[in-house]
Amino acid sequence: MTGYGRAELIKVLAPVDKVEEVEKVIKSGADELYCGVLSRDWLLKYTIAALNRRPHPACNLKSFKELKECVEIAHSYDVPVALTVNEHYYTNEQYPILLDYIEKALDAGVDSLIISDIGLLLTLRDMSLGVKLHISTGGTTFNSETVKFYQELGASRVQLDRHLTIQEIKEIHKEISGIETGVFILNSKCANIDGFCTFLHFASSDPAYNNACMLPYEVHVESTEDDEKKIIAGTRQQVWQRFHIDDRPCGVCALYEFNEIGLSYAKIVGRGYPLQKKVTDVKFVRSMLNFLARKPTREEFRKTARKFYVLTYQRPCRITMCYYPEVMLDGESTLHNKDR
Amino acid sequence: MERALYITKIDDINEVMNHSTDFSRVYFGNEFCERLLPTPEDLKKMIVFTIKNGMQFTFVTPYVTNQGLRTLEKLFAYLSKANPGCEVVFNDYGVLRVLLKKYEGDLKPVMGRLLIKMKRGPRLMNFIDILPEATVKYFRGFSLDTQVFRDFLLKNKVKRVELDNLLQGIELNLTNYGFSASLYVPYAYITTTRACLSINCDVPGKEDEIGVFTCKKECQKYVFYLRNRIMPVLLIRKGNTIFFKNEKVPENLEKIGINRIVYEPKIPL
Repeated sequence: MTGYGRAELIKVLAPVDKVEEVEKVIKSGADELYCGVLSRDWLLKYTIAALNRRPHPACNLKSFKELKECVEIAHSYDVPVALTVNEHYYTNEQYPILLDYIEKALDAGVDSLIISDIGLLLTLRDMSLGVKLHISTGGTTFNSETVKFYQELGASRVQLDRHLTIQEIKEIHKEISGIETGVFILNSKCANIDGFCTFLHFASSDPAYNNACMLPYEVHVESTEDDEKKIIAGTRQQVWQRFHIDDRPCGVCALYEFNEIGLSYAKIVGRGYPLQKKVTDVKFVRSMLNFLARKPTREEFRKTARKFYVLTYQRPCRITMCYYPEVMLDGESTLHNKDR
Repeated sequence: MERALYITKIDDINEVMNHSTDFSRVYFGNEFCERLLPTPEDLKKMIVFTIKNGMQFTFVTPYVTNQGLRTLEKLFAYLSKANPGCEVVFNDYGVLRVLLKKYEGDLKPVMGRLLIKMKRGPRLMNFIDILPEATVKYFRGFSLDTQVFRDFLLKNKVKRVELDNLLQGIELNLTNYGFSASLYVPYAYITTTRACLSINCDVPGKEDEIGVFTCKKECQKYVFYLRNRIMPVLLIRKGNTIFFKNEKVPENLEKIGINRIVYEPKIPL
């Protein structure tokens, strides 16, 4: 059995951080864009208590003027733009600056807001601003009841969590209707669940304040198992010192299933990456979707995806870097290349 | 101040038996992994025990997939008949939706600590003294600071919330808003994952295979202590979750609205 039964392919959602990136990313094949904007007022007052989940200046447009320019270019190609306002919570005191920020973003023409905080979601819903409200991965959606929960609160789209299997995603999708859902693809294969991760997550030039999941740890193992097992178990705890979560993670093989399931979009992670990487990522995903439109078998699609990944990123497929590693382990396709 | 004892396995019922005069409530269940939910038989044993000993009962539940929801629905169906009016800690809005749709009045929803958004990262303590006041206030606050969210929770029958014992302290008076809070001591969670590093952790050759795979509950055999000089406290990884230990109970409990201490005699996984 080949391909899929839907008329339209899954969309590609891609990040931008600079005005000059917009046209290139769209021409590479992005269907939708998302971005963040720096707020100097916020930064001065709240410093490391961030406004969105990628607070580094390199991950954000520098002003609402830039945002407006981005939106105008994108709209000339009929491409919508979403703004991330997705920190896990905001306090009451932050709302005046926050709502002013959102008002400026809407004046700039953004089509949707990506949100995690329920207080903010409820506030914006009640304000009836006419902007679409999308739930970020920070909304920790693992099941269909949670999708419906957000749908009832006015969300039109929900980002499913990274830490779901293809089968689990399929089950969720069977039980919902009238709302868009999507998944992540490429880059930042987070070790932990974003929405439940409360480690500090801010921009610093000091490597000691890099993501806590990737710091080098000395591991002490407590167990009644034998020493050999304890050594292996301890070594495993240091996996994120051996692999960087941004070392070209993928997941493109699963686009075959995601398109069959009927997901609305695949979101390329990557605010803050250089333009060339963004273009490479979008072209890679778009090329595979173009191939998918020719209705290959699942096996053909996976084989091609893996060959193309190796060519594009000069890396072998590695199970550690696979967003949906079950594709590397199932009986139908065991093209499992170890990077050791 | 109410005192509750939190156990995650029926085998630890001895902890409750040994301390039954010190605690008036038992918390039983799991916040972090649907695979560690109790069986219906174990839940029944726990309910029978608490009723027999005149104790109150709180059932603790994790974030769940659709499969996990099906497991929970069977447990809720039993609980609503065996111990109507008991509390259920939810860490998943889908679970809240099920509780309200099917068990309103029978099971009382309590908002779990995974859904109470707080910043728990210990490195904050390295430089909190030099941060501006507004930033410090943010880090001592949490997601219930907004009226609209509080109103939403109250409207949805949530009147109790579960808090972690932050190293930086907590500053929010919940009593003003009609909420009560519980404080978990001494293990505060920091982060959790479904790509669990206990899965196949002692199998040679699988050290780098990370994903959401089936498991043999290897988490019950291992605890990992993680040290890094920049972390001011020891990190404790058990199964899919990282904790730190904070045994110092704040002095301003009543001011925050905390009227229950949930004591964790063991790492709650």
